[in-house]
Amino acid sequence: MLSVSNLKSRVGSFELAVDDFTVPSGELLSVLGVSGSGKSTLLNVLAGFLPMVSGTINVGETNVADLRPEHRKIGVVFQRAALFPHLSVRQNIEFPLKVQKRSDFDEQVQVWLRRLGIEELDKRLPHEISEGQAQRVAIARAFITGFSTILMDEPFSALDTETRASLRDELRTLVTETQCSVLMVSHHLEDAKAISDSVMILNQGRTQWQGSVTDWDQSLRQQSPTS
Amino acid sequence: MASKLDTNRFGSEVGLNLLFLLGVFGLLFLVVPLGYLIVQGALQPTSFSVFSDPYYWHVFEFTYVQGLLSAVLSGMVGCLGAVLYSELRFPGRRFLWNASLVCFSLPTILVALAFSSTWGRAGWVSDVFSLFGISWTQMSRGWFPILAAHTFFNFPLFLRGVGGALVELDRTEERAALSLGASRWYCFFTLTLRKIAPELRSAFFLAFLYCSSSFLVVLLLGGGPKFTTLEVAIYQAVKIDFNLGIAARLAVFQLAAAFLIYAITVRNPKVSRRWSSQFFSLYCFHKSKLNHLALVIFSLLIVVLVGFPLATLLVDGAASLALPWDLWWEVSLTSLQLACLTCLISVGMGVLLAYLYHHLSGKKQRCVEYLANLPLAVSTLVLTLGWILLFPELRWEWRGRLLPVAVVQSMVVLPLVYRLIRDGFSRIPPELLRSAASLGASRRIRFLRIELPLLRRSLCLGGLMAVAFSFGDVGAVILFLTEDLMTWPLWIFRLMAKYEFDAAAGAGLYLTLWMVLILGLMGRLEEKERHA
Repeated sequence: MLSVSNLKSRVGSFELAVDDFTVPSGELLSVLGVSGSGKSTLLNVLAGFLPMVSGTINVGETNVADLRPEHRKIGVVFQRAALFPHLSVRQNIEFPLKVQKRSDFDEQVQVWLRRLGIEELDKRLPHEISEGQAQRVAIARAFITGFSTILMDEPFSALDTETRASLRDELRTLVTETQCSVLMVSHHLEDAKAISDSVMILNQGRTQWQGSVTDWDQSLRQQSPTS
Repeated sequence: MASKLDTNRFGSEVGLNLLFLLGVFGLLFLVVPLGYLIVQGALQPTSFSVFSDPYYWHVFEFTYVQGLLSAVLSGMVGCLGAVLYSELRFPGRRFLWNASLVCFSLPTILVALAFSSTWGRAGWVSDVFSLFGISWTQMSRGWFPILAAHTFFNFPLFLRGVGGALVELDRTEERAALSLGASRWYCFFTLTLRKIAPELRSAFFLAFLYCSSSFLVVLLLGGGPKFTTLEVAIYQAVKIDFNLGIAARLAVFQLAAAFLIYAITVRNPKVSRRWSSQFFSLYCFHKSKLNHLALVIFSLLIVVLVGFPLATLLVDGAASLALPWDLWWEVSLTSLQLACLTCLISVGMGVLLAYLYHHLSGKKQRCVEYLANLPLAVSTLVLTLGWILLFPELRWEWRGRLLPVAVVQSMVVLPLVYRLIRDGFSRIPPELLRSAASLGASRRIRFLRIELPLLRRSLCLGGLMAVAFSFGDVGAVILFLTEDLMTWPLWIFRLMAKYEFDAAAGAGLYLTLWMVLILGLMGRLEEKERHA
């Protein structure tokens, strides 16, 4: 479970101060908002890439706010996959296991390659696969860590409609199966509606709305009868 | 934002501070001898005695006058080439661009040899003139070959710097002005010239810096005390007069002037410029007679300044290639050993400083950048003098040892190696490092598993740059190495000093082949880096 309270951060003149929120295990929270609303800043603060002024970030029972990114046990999936270009698909996926000095990485990698349907790509380099396939590899690489919290920065934004829909469904299944807490930054309402359990809307660094996806859907319908 | 993300909370500050101290320690090999040289040269009661000597006044005057003239001439040839290169599509345009890099990178000894064999008293130009009863002796040494050789080296600074900017700068304003009826000249002087001013200024001061610290060209092509630069005077004070005091005083003056010029060169005024991938030819039209005339003049200049000397070097060298195999092997081995040592030290230091630059911020980052570029204004001859002054008793013990020479060469080539590796670091997308950190990789693992493999081409380029520099350097080896331990340039220098020009040409061709190999590899790597 990921729970955040009193979080405040400042980047230049931009101030981020979001309401407390929790992402229970096996659930997915979508963070929505227009450009410049602070979505990516929030993700970077949670991952430890940006400093925070105050607040706590609990992963399970541990407050990781003062830890360095590599010690937080929070996986991140980036918008453009961010695969290591000199490593093959297999080597990319086994990277975190080797960092953790796990001995069972061969079997684990095989399991995740099969799970995301990318077995035949294992020897290819990142520039030899499509963007959809690269995003699958990035997702496998984040989930194989065994971390209980995963952050995703607009993971579907570079994909075509068809790939987007299938990957969205697979991600939903993964979240339920692995019981991870996933926070996904997005500006795509369809994605949020399709796979989220709850939604948080940011505006100018502040929480504008927070609640379950059903409530959000209902409020949307009330605002616009045609939607 | 990206760099801040990478620096603020990525890994332990203690580790970075330790690395910073290590980097500063490495640079002590540069700073301590230079500091001691300054103390010895500037803070003694007799420090300013050189200024009362008319001979040294003449040396100062000649150094900077020939530097200024050389920079102006290089600018004229280079700028003409830059405008033609950017505006016209002519046969050999790409070749000119690549060949200019060779001109800039060739060892000084080879250029001095080539000019001597072409324009010198025993050169073929002199023979041709004598057929018509004209004496060439007046022109064979002194101003003409010195200025011509300096132009050979430095016109590429203008051609590549200004020409590159002309091709890549956005020309929307110029097109608007021309469409509103402005003349091409007006447009060029009021709009384009202002845009390329930073490149022009930088190329001019760099050319002036290089020419005013010229050593071998002036020593071998000057011919007498009338043609002595500060570097030559320092060499003569150490090697011929054994007067280290005078050498130190001259070196301090040389250093002060070089740092001043360097400071002007790197001063970067804020100029707002836009770059564009779309190029529009604005000033030259293919059917204009003026263009043809400019192209013919430029081609003639290139043939005379570059083509003749290089062709002479190759032809003379090919005619005198007979060389005992064991001697060839010995000289090549010494050169290679020295180059490998220089490569190891400079790449090691370069990686350390470039890493620090990318992972530190604020004052420490600026400090790293400043320290890494410091040697740009220092020559190997002056730095070697600093070491000799610092450890006078080691001067004789060090003779014939490669390590001190490699240390001096590494320090002087460090800015070039550092810049290549620093640029390699900046090409690594920050997301990769953030991604690795989020997967649990520590700073050490991120460096070893992500950054280092992605830097491989930059490291190779930096290493080759160090090797090329070491293969061509004379300043450090001339004061340290002995007859039984010779590198290619030192050997050529000794042969030229003994007037054995044929043997020198043979040795010169071998050195040329080595340089072609190294520069060819660098070219291929650069090409791959661009495509990557």
